Amino acid sequence: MNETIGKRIAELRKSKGLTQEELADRLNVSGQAVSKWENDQTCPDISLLPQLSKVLGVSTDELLSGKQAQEAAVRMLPEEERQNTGDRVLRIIVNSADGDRIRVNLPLQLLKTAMDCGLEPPRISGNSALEQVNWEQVMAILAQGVIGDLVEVESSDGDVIQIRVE
Amino acid sequence: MQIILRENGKKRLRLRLPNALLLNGPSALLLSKRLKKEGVSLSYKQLRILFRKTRKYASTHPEWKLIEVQKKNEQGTEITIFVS
Repeated sequence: MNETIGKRIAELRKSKGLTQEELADRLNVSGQAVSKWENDQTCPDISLLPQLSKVLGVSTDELLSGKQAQEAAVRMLPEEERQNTGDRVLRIIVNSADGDRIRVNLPLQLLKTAMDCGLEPPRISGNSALEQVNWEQVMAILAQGVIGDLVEVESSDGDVIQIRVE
Repeated sequence: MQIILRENGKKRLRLRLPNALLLNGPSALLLSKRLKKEGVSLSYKQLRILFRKTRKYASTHPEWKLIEVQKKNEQGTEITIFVS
């Protein structure tokens, strides 16, 4: 990504196949103003940034910093996919300090049935860090369609525990 | 259900038990009695529902591995156990 905001605007404008005049028309500014932005003589007004980033097809963060947004560790599923827990799996990953690895893959539909039956949440090798996880809260988050890395805990003895939904 | 034990990537043990044999009415009854002694309140009926759903899920998702354990011993032998 280019170093200055002006260079980024010019690059993005060209990649969209727009001329300076066309971009200026869409933002209700003059062509000279766009030229000045691109030559780093002035900066676009802050109130123009949302519209400018929309026209250029990037986020305002990306426009200002030049860094592409990283994929979020946690994201929400679209509303129509939330009810279908079919293929979603809750993974409990324990990486112990001495190199042992444990993976428990619990399908959400089974986990929900088990918890509805009154079963207690899984306990893995008596790990104390897992006891502190609020499972009711985790289930409430899952019901809202959240997927990704939900919990990451490091216990005092160096074990790392992750709870992830895929 | 399969229990597979691998040592340094080589399969050492493969135990195959039909889910229908493990997750059925009589085993639900036995398990509920056992759990009651352990102080866990889980009825026969609840276990039957859980077993049925587990069998259904396992049949539609043959790649499902419930538990994977990888352990390295002092000689550096890596032992992996799958329960699927």
